[in-house]
Amino acid sequence: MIKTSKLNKYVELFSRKIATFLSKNINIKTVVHPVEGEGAVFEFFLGTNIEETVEFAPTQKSVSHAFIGITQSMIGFTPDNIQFEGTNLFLENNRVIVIKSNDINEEWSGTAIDKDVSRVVTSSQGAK
Amino acid sequence: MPLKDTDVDGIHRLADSIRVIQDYTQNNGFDSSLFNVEVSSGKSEAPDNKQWDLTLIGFFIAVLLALGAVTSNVYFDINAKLSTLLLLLGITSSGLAVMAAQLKFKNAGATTIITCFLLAVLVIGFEIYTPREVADKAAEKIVSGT
Repeated sequence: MIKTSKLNKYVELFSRKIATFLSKNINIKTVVHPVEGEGAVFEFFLGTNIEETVEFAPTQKSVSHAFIGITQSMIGFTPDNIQFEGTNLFLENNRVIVIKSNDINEEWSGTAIDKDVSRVVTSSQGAK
Repeated sequence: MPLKDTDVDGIHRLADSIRVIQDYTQNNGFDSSLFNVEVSSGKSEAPDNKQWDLTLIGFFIAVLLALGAVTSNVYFDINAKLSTLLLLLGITSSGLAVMAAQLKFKNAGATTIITCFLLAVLVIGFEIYTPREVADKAAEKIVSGT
């Protein structure tokens, strides 16, 4: 997805909803990875010495290309042999990676964002 | 479609190598202290619920104080000193209301609307501008902004 307004809306709602669970003085820096195909990848960096900004990275071919480009934890995969479906979440160090694999409205709705935030928060505390 | 010229083994190898990741969540050493979440076996409310409500209550109290100051100035026959005092109270309350609104809504648009509303009420209520002048100034801003 390359529709900036929809990507910005997701960032705004996700940040606002997750902010209610953050510890004191924690800011969110967001990097959006638009893709030519369906879906998008978002990186949310959390921390005290972080400026609250939203940056747009160069557009990638697909969510797989965007994901492989930003993480080293799944080394061994190439963009061609990894396929994402639904909403996938990866948490590491101070970073939350959200991978939206399609452009279906239900996946980008307020209810879906509530569910994404809930999954991030429960997983951050060690739940599967 | 004939399979004679098709690389069946190649297709099998490709299919085996493709990994589908669906609605998956992975925590790879995430710093859990970034979240202020109480982990318990029972059902619990959002952790910042109380703080959220306090901000909202603060916002309403500040707005009521500002509107109260304006109402007192409009309805009661008061001297100039008291009127100035009420204006200061109105400005202070409005400032607090705007701060509370920004903390609560975290939305520049909502905060701007509340600021404009309170400012308009104050300047009209304390007869700094007439309603007509306020409407003209708002129209000027809107026209210059478009």
